[in-house]
Amino acid sequence: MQPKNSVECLSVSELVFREKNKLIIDNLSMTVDRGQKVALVGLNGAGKSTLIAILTGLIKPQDGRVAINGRSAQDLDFKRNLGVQYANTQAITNLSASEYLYLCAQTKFAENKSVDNAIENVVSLWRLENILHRPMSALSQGNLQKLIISQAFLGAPEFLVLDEPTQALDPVEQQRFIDNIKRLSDSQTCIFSSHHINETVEAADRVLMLHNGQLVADIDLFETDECWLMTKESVQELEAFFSESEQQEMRFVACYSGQRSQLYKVTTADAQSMQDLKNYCDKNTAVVRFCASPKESLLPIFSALANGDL
Amino acid sequence: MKTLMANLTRLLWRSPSVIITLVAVLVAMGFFTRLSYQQFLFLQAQNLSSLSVFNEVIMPLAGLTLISQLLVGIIASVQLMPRLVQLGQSFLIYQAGIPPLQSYLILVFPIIIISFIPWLFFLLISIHIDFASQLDTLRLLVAAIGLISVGLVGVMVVVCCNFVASRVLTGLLLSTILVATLLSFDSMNALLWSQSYWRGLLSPFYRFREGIVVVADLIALSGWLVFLFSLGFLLLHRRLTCNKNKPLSILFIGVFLVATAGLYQGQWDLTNDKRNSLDSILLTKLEQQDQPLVITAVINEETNRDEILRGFDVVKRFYDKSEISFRARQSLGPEFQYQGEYIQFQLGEMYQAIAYPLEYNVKASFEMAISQMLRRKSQWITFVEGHGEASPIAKNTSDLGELHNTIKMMGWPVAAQNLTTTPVISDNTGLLVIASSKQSWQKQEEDLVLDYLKNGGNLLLMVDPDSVMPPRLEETIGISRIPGTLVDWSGYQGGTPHPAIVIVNQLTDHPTVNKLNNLLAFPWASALEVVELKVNPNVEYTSILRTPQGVWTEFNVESEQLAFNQEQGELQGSFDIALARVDQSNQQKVVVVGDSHFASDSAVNNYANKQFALNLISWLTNLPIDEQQVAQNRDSSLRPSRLGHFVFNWGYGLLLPSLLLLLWFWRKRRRFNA
Repeated sequence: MQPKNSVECLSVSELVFREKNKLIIDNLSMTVDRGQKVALVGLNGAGKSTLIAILTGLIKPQDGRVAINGRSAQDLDFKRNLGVQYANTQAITNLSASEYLYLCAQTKFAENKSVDNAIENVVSLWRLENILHRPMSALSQGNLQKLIISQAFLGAPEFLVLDEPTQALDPVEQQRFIDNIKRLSDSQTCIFSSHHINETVEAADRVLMLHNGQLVADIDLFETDECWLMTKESVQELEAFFSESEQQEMRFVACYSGQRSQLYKVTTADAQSMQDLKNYCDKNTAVVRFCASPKESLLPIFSALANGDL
Repeated sequence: MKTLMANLTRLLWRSPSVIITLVAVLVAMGFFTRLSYQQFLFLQAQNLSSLSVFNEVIMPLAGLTLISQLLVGIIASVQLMPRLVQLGQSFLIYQAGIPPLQSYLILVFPIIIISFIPWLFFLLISIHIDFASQLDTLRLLVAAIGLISVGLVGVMVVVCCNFVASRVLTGLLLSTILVATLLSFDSMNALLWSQSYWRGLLSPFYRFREGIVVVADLIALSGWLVFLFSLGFLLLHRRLTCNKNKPLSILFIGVFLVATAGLYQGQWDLTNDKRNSLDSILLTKLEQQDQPLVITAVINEETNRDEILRGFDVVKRFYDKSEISFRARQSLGPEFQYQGEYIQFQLGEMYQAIAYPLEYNVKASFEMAISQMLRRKSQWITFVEGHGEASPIAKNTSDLGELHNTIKMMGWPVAAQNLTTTPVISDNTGLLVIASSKQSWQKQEEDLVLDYLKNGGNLLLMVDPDSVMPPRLEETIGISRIPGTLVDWSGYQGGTPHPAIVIVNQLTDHPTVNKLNNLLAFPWASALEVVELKVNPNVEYTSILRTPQGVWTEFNVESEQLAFNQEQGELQGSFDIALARVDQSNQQKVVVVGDSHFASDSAVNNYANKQFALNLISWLTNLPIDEQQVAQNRDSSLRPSRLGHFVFNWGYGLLLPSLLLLLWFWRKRRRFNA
C-alpha cells in the first residue's frame, strides 16, 4: 500500500561528510514525505550508515543541512519521536532483555508516557515473550537483533530510522520485520538501510540507492509509469531515436553517470512509447540494461554497481 | 530521571569489574585499618606520649580512601560512556528524549554514588574508632568533607576523560594517566613551588585532613568542580548542537576561580587542640625578633620529612619568614653522625635543637622548641639544690621530676644549681625555686639569694614543717611558718588517706587559683603567716590559699592518735597555706607555699595540684601558660570492646567485603533464576 501523503517531513540538502579526508557523503540532497517507508540501498561503504548517523543527529556533517519538520536532528521533540537502531549494536552484558527495554524506554520518553504500555506493545509486536527475562548476553545474534530493533518501535515513534535491521534475522523474523514495517501508520515515517533486495521491495515504498556517498537512484516502487535504463548513450542520442511525438510523451532523467554507462529514469504514461523504448533497448548494443518497472530495476542496478557496469 | 539514574547505578552495581574493584579497595582499606590498629596498640603498650589515633590511623586511612575513590571512579566511569560507545549503545544517551543536562546528570551521578562507597566505609571505620577513642570530631568532620570535595573533583576529572574515550581500555588508560599526572604535578608543586597560587587536589586534601579549612582551598575546589562539571557537559555533548554558551561561560568562571584562588586569604583551624595554629603569644614574640627562622632537619626518611614539613607548614603559614632545609645524616661530619636525627631551629644568634623522633606532635614540638629558644635568653627557671631540696632531676617520689618535665615541655629552660659550686645567680634567671631545704645554708649562699631578691628577682619558696628556712631570707620576705604540721580532720573523714593531707576547696581570686576547677591537696603542710618587721608601703602580701576551718597545727603528726591539743600550743582555725608578696617598686614577685609535697611526683597529679604549680610558675615569670601546649592528645589511646577488637581485626578487611561479594552473587543468581 503506497501512502499518498505529500507532506514533506525530512529534507536533506547538499550534505557533505568527510572522515580522514575521505568523502563519505558527497553533496547528497533528498526529501522524504511523512508516512513514507524508505529503504537505503547500496554496496558496503556506500555511505548508508553514515547518512543514518547524520539523519539521527549522532554525527554532524561538515556541510549541508538536515531538517526534520523544519527542525534540527538535535531537537528534543524530534528525539522523543525518533526510534533508532544502529548496525552492529552489541549486548549490554549486565541487563536482561526486559531491563534493556525499560532502559531504552526511560531514556526515550518524556516523563508522562507509559513505559509499561510501550514495552507491552513492542513485546507483542515482536514476539519477545520468550526472551524477555534472559540476559542480553545469553541471547542469540538473531534474538539480540530482534530486541534491538524492537526498542526502536517503543512508543510508536513518528520517525523510525533503522540501520540494516534484518541483518542476522532468520526468514521468519525477516518477514515479521516486513509485516511490522507495513503495519506502521501513515503518520509514521521509516527509513531503513538494507542489503536484501527482496525484503526492500516488500517493505519499502521507495528506495534510495547510494553509491560512494552519492544518491544514484531515487526509486518509487509503486510508480507504474517509470522504467530504468542503463546505457552508454547520452540523452541526445537516446532522444534522437524517437519521434517528436514520442519525445513529448517520454522524459529521460539522467540520474547517475558512471565510468562505463549512465543510469536514466524514463517516465512515460504512454504504453506504446514504453514498448518502443523496450524494442529499442533490445536491438541497441549500447544499452546495458532496460528495466520495465521500478521493482524490477533494483537488482540490476545493484548488480551493475557491484560489477562496475555503471 | 530518578528512576533512570537508579537503573544506571544498578547497572554499575552489576558490573563484575566494578564489584571486584569495590571489594578489592574495601579489603585494602580494611586490612590497612587492621595494620594501623595493631601498630597503634603496640605503640600504646609502650606508653608513647605523643600518640594520636587520628594521626596514626585516620589520616593514612583518609589518604587510602582518596585513592580508592579515584580507582572506583575510574572503573565505574569506563563502565558507562566508553562501554556504551564500544557496544554501539551510545544512542541511549545521544538520542535520549530528555534534555542534555539531564542526560549528563544521569550519567555522572551513578559514577559519583559508586565512587563514594569507599568514603562511606571510611566514615564507618572512623565512627567505630571514635567509640573506642576520643577523636576530635570536628577535625574528623572536616577531613570527611575534604575527602568528599577532593574526591568529587578527582572523580569529575575521570568522568571528563571517559566522555572523550570511545573504548573501555582507552578510558582506563586516559583517566589513570591524567589523574596520576595531576597528582604528581600537585606533589611536585608543593615541594618545588610552595609559593605558587596553584591549588590542585593534594595540598587542599592534606589541609582538610589536618582539620584546616582554607578559604583559597574552598574557592579552588569550587572552581575545579564548576570547571570540570561544565567541561564534562561540553565533552559529552560535543557532537550535538545543543546550546553550549552557558556551560562555556560557567567553565570560564571555574577557570577564573581556580586561577585566582591563591589570592584569597583566610583560614580556620577547626581542631579542638588548635594543632594547626601557631600560638599567638609565640607568634608575637617571633614577630618582635623580625629575623628569619631557619629550620634545618637532619632526617633521612622521606616519610619522616613529610611529618616535619607538616609542622613547618603551620609555622610558615603564620610566620612567613621561615625557611626549611633537609640534610641527610651521612652528609654531616663523623663527629655528628652518632647523634642521630634532629631538627635545629635558628633565629639570629639563637639556636635550639630537638631530637627526632619527636616526643609530642610535630606542631607542639616545634612550638616548644621555638619557645624554648626565645625564652632561653631571659627566662631560666633555676632550682636551688645542695641542701636536700626536692630535685627536678632525681627520681624519688618526693622529687619534682614530672613538674620539671612539664615546664620544660612548655618551653621554659630549667636548671638545677648548687650555689656553693656555682656561686652566681645568672641575670637571665627568671625564677628561683627553693623546694624545701632540709639542711642549713652557708652565709654566701644566702647572700647570693638575697642579692638576687634585692635586684628584683622572683622566688618560689616551698617550705615543709621540717624544712630549714634561712633566717635572713625569712626576714627579707616577711613570711614565716607557724610551727606544726597542718591536720585536716574533716578532709580525712571525707576520704583522704591521712589526716595530714589538707584539702583546699575554697579558692581566692588570686590569678594562680581563680580558674582552677578542682580541689587542691597539700600533704604534710605548714601554715604560713606574714611577719613584717619593717613595714614597706610598696610591698603587698596576698593570701593565695587558705585551709578550711577546723584545721590545726599538730606538733606530733607521727602519733597514732591525732587530736587537737590547745594546751601544747597547737592552733586551730583557717590558715594561710600559700602567700604572695609583690613589691610594686620593682615588680618583684615572691610566693611562699607551706608545702613542697604537693608538687612532688607522688602528689602532683592529684586534683589540680599540677595546674596550680604551673600557674604559680606562669605568674611568677609573667608568662601566661599556653594551655594547649600542656594538653595531651585526647585520642592518645584506643580501647575497643572485645567485639570492636574482632571487627577491627577481621570485620573490615574480611567480613564486610565478603558480605558485599556474597550479596552480589546472591542477587545475580536470584536475577537469573527469576
